[in-house]
Amino acid sequence: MNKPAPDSALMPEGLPRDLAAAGWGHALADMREGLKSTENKRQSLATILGQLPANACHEVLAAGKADAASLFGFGIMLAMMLAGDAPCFLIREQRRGDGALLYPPGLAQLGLEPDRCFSVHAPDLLAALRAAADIARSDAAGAVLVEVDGNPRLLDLTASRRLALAAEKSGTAVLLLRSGAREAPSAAYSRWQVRSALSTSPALAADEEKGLGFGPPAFAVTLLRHRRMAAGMEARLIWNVEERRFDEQSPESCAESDGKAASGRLAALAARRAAGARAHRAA
Amino acid sequence: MRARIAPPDAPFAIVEKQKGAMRLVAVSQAAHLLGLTPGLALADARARVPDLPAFDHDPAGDAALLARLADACLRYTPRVMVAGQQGVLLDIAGCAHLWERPSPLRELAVSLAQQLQSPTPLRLGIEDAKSHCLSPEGEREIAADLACRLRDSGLTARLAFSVSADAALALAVHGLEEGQAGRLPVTALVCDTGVHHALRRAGLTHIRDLASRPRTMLAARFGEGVTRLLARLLGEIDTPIIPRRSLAMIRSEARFAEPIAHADSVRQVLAELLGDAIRQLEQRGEGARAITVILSRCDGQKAALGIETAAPTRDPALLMRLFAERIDSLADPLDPGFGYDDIALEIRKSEPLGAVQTATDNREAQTREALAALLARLSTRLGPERVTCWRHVDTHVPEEVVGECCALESDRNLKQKFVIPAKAGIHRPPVMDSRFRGNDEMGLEAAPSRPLLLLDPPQPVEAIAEVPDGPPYRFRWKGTQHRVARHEGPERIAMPWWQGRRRAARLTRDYYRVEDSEGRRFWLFRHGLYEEKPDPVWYMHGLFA
Repeated sequence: MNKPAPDSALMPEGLPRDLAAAGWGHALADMREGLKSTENKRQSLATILGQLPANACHEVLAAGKADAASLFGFGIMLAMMLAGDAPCFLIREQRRGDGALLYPPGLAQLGLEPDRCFSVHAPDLLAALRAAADIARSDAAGAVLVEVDGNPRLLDLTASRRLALAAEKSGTAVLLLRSGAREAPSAAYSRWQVRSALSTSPALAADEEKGLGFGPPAFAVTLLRHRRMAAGMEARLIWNVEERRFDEQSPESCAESDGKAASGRLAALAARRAAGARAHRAA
Repeated sequence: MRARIAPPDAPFAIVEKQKGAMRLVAVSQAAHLLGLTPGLALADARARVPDLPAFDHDPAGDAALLARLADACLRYTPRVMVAGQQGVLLDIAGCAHLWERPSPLRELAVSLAQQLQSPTPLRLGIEDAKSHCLSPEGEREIAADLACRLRDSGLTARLAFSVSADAALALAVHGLEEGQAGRLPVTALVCDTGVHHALRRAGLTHIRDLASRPRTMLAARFGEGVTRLLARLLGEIDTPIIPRRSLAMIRSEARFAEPIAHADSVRQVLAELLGDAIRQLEQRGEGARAITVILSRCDGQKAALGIETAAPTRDPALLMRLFAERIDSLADPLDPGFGYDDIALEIRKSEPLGAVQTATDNREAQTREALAALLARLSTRLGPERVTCWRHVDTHVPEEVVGECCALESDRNLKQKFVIPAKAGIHRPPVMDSRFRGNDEMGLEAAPSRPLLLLDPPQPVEAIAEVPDGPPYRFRWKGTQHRVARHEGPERIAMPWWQGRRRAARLTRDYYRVEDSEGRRFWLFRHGLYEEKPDPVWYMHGLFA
């Protein structure tokens, strides 16, 4: 076996030399880290997001077809967290009849300067993946986002492994944004599912019945797969523009604001109609 | 008629529908001898010559043929112009000496009297122009070479030399020789037929009549323009010709004794030419931005490959890689045919570039170079219009705030550090309700006022609003009902009243940010206030994250 010599820092002590030479050290180190993290089950999703490695390939799925905006938003926020100040590339396939374009003033308000973004309109998926591989290989880019539709055959395990290797070597983050896709095996470090969620903020509490107000972007995020830890966690995350990170919203306040928002406007309307009907009957 | 089927000396004509009748545009030699002339109606022509074969006029094909001929004439001189529908002008000032001996300033005009405009080559006679004994051997060599090549490719041509371009063209069209400008008819003057009629009625039929009259009289009667044209015809005034290809500043060329066709040898030659060009660039202190390589096949066809870079560069490895990408991404693969005779490399665009440090510890400069190389590679493979960056336009209309431009052309990102743009033009409207202002730190200031995705064009929705001027409380988009849970607005954006002739273009828009019960956030607008339009329509313009 011609594996490179593993890092001694990660090497568990007391490993027999022939096993070490065979490269088993890495697998054991991984297991140890995994065990450590499952002890700390309280680790929040926001912290996990903050600790994602920037030199890897990550995948984001949209829960439904109507969640395209949430998918893009989450993807861009993740790219901001991973890339820092380096240029971002966005690769989209040029499809006819698709009228939704990225709007740079919106990007700027989320915290990403449009000055250092480049967009690539690829004629088809193969060209898009090749361009993604090229960008991932160069160390000029900080992050590259590839928008993929569905589960195409081109994006199989080999292709994603190629992207992951390129990302590892150069330190560029590769984010695959997949809309309308079901879960499929891939070589991504982590896989997330995003759905839109009601926004909330303390200032809205006062005017819930009137339905006024708008909070910062909020998403319902599920961790589907992570290389180092167990998956399945769900949380509602709110994007913090100034500090460029996600804040987690506690489940109690989630339910509260959900209920209020859902019932707020309609309750007011229903109440008014009922009152009107009563008045009419009385008259 | 194809040359194989009928004898080449048979009469035939090219016809075109003019003003409702089929008329002859051109006739063959034999048909001309039979008395047919261009302008005759096809019916009349057929009456005289029964069963006259007629072919459709193909002006585009003729133009393409002329263009190819002009490109082939580049071997004599770089200043070649296509004149009219039948002529090619070559300016051989300073070129004739390469073909034997030095010569005084002369111009050579080649007029293809294309009596046979069929694309298939046909065997025809050539009138070779005999220039004066004063003309040097170089010019004669050029003429002989050109005549030979034209004859081989089967075109009739008339060549004429002259000092001025107009004269040369006119002489060639009318089949005269140098110095016989006097024998040209007055129709050689390029002006209205009314002027021709007037001149003929005055008894002036040839240019020599006009030349002998005092010019002031002509100017008084026919205008200053006619005298200028006359002077140009007689060779007194010279007008420069507009060459088809502008000269490149730096050029290196390689000619081969035997044509080469193998891809490896072509690449080797390309590398050598690049090295030569880079040396010239170094001397000037410049870097290349756009390079073109012209490969000439031995049968006269030329293929051109062009590459562009994002930043001026003198790196031969990068340029070779870009050329490899360009060759790979060609729609039709390069076909050398029997081989390439001549490969020329021209630097079309160059910019100043100082001496480059070989070992840069400067991280910033390294990343900038890497970024430029990456953009150049992607643009070469996909095309420059597919790799874009955004540019801010100063306007308050939301869909026009952003312009896309090719990443290669924007020097902004490469020349200076990335600066966070001041959010000028991104209008954050004052919150309608003052209670929220300054209420808490994570209040509405954190909510974006512009969507992440913009729909272009805005899509109509059916919305029901409680109050006519108020926000919608329910709307239907793409077949799904959405119930509005939260809203914000309105943000009133008025269209520029000074633009747009139609009323619809000047309606004011009231933008609302709405969030439905499932948490999806939209940017809707009502197109037109109730005062402006009785029944305004609602549109969906964007989606928030």
